[in-house]
Amino acid sequence: MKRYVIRRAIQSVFLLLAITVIGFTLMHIAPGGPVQFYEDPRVTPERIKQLERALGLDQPLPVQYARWLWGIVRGDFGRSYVSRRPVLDMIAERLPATVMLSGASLILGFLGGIPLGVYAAIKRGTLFDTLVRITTVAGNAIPHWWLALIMIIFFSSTLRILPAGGMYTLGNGSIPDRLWHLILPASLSAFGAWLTLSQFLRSQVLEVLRADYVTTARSKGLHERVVMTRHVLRNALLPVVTMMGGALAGLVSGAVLFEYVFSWPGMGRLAVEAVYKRDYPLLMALLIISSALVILGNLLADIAYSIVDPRVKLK
Amino acid sequence: MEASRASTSLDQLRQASALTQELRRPAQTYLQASWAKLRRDWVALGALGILIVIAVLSFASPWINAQVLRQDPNAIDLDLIFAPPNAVHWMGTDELGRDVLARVLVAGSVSLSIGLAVSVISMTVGVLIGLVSGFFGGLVDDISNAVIQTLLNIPLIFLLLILSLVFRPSPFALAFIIGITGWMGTARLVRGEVFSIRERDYVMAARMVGATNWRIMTRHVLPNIGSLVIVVAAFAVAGAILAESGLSFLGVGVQPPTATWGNMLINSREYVKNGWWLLAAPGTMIFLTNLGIFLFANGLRDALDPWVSD
Repeated sequence: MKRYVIRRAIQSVFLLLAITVIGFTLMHIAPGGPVQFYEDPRVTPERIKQLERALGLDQPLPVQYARWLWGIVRGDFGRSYVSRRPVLDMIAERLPATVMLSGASLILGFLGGIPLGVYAAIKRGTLFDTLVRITTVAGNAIPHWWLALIMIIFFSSTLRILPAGGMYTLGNGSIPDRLWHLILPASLSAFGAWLTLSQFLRSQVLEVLRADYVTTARSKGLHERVVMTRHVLRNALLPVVTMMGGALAGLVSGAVLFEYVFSWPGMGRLAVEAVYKRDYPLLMALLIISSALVILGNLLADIAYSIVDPRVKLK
Repeated sequence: MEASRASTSLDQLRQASALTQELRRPAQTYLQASWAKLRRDWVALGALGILIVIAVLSFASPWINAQVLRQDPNAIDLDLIFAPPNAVHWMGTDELGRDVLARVLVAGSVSLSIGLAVSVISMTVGVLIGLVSGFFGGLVDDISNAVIQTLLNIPLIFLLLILSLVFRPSPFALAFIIGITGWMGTARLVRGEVFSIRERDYVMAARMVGATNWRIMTRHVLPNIGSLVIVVAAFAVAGAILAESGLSFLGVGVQPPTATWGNMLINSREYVKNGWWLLAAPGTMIFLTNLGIFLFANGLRDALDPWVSD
């Protein structure tokens, strides 16, 4: 176990290193750059040369990469091309909003998706099951951010019971007010998890129901409820733990669109703004930090899986 | 008495012969058998019908817009912005007074083309890498696994956002970007399948008669993953349409005035106030197309699987 964790941790470092190479390369082939704002005819070529020297852009690429990487190791992700502020500060400001939205939708997603799937499997072939399955297929065919816009029209413009966006009412910011603003964005970004989880658990439960130990449990005369909770659910829920890592990745990515739709002041919207302004250091920092989060999530999920399932031996 | 017994046995003979007639059927190739199964799957056929209608409407849009609707999808009319659906503009007009229906149809040809192109790109890369790494294993497999693992650990949207800056997204560049970041799942699937196929007896037999690796891969392995690839390719089109719509909606995909189902929604936060029809039109098209693809691909998967009988 310990050795496994250490090996995976070392692998993760290399993985992250590979991602920085990809990021750095892309940043360098991308048009524009820190000196793009000096494409003013009044700025002489000598001045641009001088600037490039000051920023270290005249050095060979591997040297530039080493310097950039050394900065990242020390926690210096560079400064924004646009605001000239350290990008890490800008991200730190936006992180709580993203954590709040993602956390809420993660909880909602698991609390909603698991019972739906289990119930659909138990009630296999009934109207409920059919409805869940139709919703799954239909739900995967629509962009969820589009659905979010429709919900804004319905709940905000028509019924006027929920806000159209933002994280809190200006000048308010109390906890009930924040929760009220969280309802729509969190449920819509949880929608994807509902679809995936309910579908996954449905097939999972149906598979476990066919297992010999379930037949044994039933033939022992155990109450159906005990069979379901002790034998079926326990086993069916195990793989869900590994999905947590994937869910985290999905939320980091999904957050971009939902934050944009709901004017949510998180990291995702920061990324979109960085694209508009071609702010590469900011984008790179976001890329690396979000990748690190995903790698960490997957690692934790694998470790957690070995803890909850004694049959899994990590080597 | 005699006569009746004779006629009975004759009847029996006739019946028996009719039975063998019935049992004897022409030999069916794999594709014929699959088609016979698909033909009875009315959900899949209905889905295919929807897809054909959408494709025809989209790709014939220049003609339809000119001859039937008599609307120019790019004609701006500032006197007629945000007009609700009416007799002239069947689906209303947008913030520049452009006809929404005409734009939705033209957008369809762009979005569908992107979807198809992405599918071709990601399938080509994914199948090639999956095939080679599954077939040869060893170092090749390790390297491709490392690449796949690395790419899968980058949140896709950030990669797409950065790539959209590197390649200014024309429809073709966007298809390239989405395709080149979306082949990993296919490669894994194909690899797993090839792993089991290469151990089969018929591959061994081919090897024994001296077939080259190339021949075994193209003649024995590839045809056996064909059905898998076709179904995954269909799902890839749907995924690509969603990805295109998301990126274009964020404003980093295909740039206006070229219309796509995604970039028609760029100003949709304004539309929330000014008109539901502006949201409804492109969203519904995406929904119908993807639903059609899902249902058809599902039917196709069953039809192409010789183990599933109806």
